Amino acid sequence: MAGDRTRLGTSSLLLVGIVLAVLIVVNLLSVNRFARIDLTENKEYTLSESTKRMLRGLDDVVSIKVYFSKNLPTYLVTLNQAVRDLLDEYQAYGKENLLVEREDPADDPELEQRCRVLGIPEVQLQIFEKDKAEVTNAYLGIAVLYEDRSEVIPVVQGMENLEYDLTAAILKVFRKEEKVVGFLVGSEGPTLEKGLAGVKGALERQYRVVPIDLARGGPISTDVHTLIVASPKNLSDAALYAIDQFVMRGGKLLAFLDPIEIPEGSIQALAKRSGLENLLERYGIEVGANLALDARSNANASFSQGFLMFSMPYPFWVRVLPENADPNHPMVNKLSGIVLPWTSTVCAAADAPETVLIDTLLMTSEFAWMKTGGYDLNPQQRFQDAPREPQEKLPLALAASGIFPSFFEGKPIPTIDETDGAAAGGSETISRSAETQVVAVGSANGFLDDMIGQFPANRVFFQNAVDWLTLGDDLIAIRSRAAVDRPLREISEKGKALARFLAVFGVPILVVLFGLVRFLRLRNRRAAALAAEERSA
Amino acid sequence: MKNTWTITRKEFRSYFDSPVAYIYITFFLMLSSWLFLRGFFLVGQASMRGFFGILPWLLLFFVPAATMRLWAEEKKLGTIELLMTLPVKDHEVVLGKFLASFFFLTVTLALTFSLPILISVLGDPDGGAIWGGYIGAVLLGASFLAIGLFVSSLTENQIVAFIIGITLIFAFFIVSEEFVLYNAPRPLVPILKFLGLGAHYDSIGRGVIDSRDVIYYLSVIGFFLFLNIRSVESRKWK
Repeated sequence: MAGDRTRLGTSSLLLVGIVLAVLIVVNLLSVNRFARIDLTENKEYTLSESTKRMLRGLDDVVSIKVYFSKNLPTYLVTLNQAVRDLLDEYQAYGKENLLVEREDPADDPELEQRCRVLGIPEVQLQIFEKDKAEVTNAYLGIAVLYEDRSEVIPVVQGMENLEYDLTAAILKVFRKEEKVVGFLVGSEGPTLEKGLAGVKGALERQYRVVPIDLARGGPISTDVHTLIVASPKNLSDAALYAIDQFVMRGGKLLAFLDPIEIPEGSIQALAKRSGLENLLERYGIEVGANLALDARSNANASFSQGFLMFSMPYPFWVRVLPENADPNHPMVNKLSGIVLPWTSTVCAAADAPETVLIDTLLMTSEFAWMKTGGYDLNPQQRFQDAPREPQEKLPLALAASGIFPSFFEGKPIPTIDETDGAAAGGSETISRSAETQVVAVGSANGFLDDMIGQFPANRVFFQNAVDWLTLGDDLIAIRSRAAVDRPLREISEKGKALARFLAVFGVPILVVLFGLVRFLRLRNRRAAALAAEERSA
Repeated sequence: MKNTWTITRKEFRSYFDSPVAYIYITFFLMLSSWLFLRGFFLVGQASMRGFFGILPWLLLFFVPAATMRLWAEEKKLGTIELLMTLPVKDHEVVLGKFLASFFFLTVTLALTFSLPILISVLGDPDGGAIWGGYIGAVLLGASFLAIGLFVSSLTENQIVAFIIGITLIFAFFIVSEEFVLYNAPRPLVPILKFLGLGAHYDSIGRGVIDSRDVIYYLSVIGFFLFLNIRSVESRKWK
């Protein structure tokens, strides 16, 4: 009998073990094949496909360190929660290859030092408490680390672009193959060594930068992902053909155009056309043969006259106000203080192809006008008297995405040299592009070394533009998120007290009443049953 | 199935036959609303996140209180022998008791619907997130119930069942909390994270239902109900 019991006991334990094993296997299987349903109205917690794909593709541990102070003012509590939620979503797809850690550097000198090295600043925040404004210091940064590489989001200001920024950061630190950015040289413009060393430094941290010389024609190597053309001059047909065919093959083009040429020591400028304008026009982008001036939003420029240095508002140096940068475009919507000196307008052409979608990125204020023809750049001229033209907002930079038609469609392939008849690369013209993107900016001067020193936002814009184009396939689909704000209606203290009272006591009172009624009914029924029993007895 | 249903109805009714259930529900509703509303106007958001954030901690105490009686009392009064001589199978009784406590919990949670109604008067909350929160609460609560019910079957003392129930649920809940993970040895972290009842609640709580979390909760419920059946059966070989 005792043996039976032991046997029963053992088999029972064995069964428990088997059930446990089955459940573990089921759960392990579910880890790799899972589905997530987002019930929120705006699909607040749904990551874009490209982010999910990127996270699934991780095959080594990338770590995300969130350096948020614990004691944040109340108005940042929602943001803090939203960041946590977004990272939870990342974690759900990144699984064991994504390590999210949260740390508060406030009381840890070692961590503070680390934050400084990473480039995460301690920011000053205003807190309003009991009608008193106070200032507190806090950390709101995120660092993405992989091996010896790091990318940081120094201050998280909102949720709008956090997915874009995070995914871009992970892509950058985790890059497997180095993406190649080509830079057009030999068109007499500034080069990466001379004049553009500042932006070059920023680019080389992430990409392999190669010079592209089209003096002998093309084609441009298929390795090149993005081609940067800055301040081009007199591009030959063969060079244009190479650029056109590069775009047709799905290459990305970033064009910084210069509408004018300033002879040394002169304040009179000459109009300049490089030939690239025609190409862009065919793509649906119209580069104006003009200079934009902004009477209200401009930067101070310093000029010397003899031994005298003076600085004054200079309408030719257009300062783009944050509200005039496309709020939905991750390339520009966080930037304030972009200054485009001597810039032309860049707008969608009237006959832009239907397959091309154009977003205007940067605009002047509504107090701007254009100058055409002879350009007097003298800062001391009387600008305010000049504009009799209507003042309006003018577009200065745009991003075009889609399928572009070739400029050389139906035209003969240009040759380098009439005598040897060498083709400019490629034997057959591709007439329609693959899905690709082109970004055009009306100024190249703004990105020269001395300018980005003065206007650091310009460097960030340059970098964002290259990132957006180069990492584009993975990033373009990431939409900017609507703010996660669902404020309560204005309500008086009395109203709040009433709401509290109703919530705390309303239903409980009903429950108690229900209980009493039920109890009384039961008692009556019992009494009636008892009485009936007595009667029958 | 018919037997299960009969037991469910009997047990469910017995909750409401004593004043205890009313005190229980009233206390739960008042405490949860009061705790939630303390920070609600300060944050000023039309959201139930705060409520679903404190819910696990309330359920930690309320669920063992709702399950402690279910087996312990039968054992103490000896009615368990009577129950088991009836022509019902062990698993039917276990399932019946579980379902009764489950419906009791659902009724309690349903009575908190006054909060979302109040919030929609005061603002424009995200309905999907609130439904998600309730689904999460029901799954979490049901897992707590399964654990509490199992613990109740181990003892004939209700207080012991209550205390062990809280301890076990607490342990299962906090293994995935940040401060535990932070101090745990690295290789154990993913395992603890997976085991924790709390980690799986986070995303459902804000309106994102992940099949992994649902499967996990169903596994926990299934496993403890199975243990419960085994423990009831064990009287045959103890």
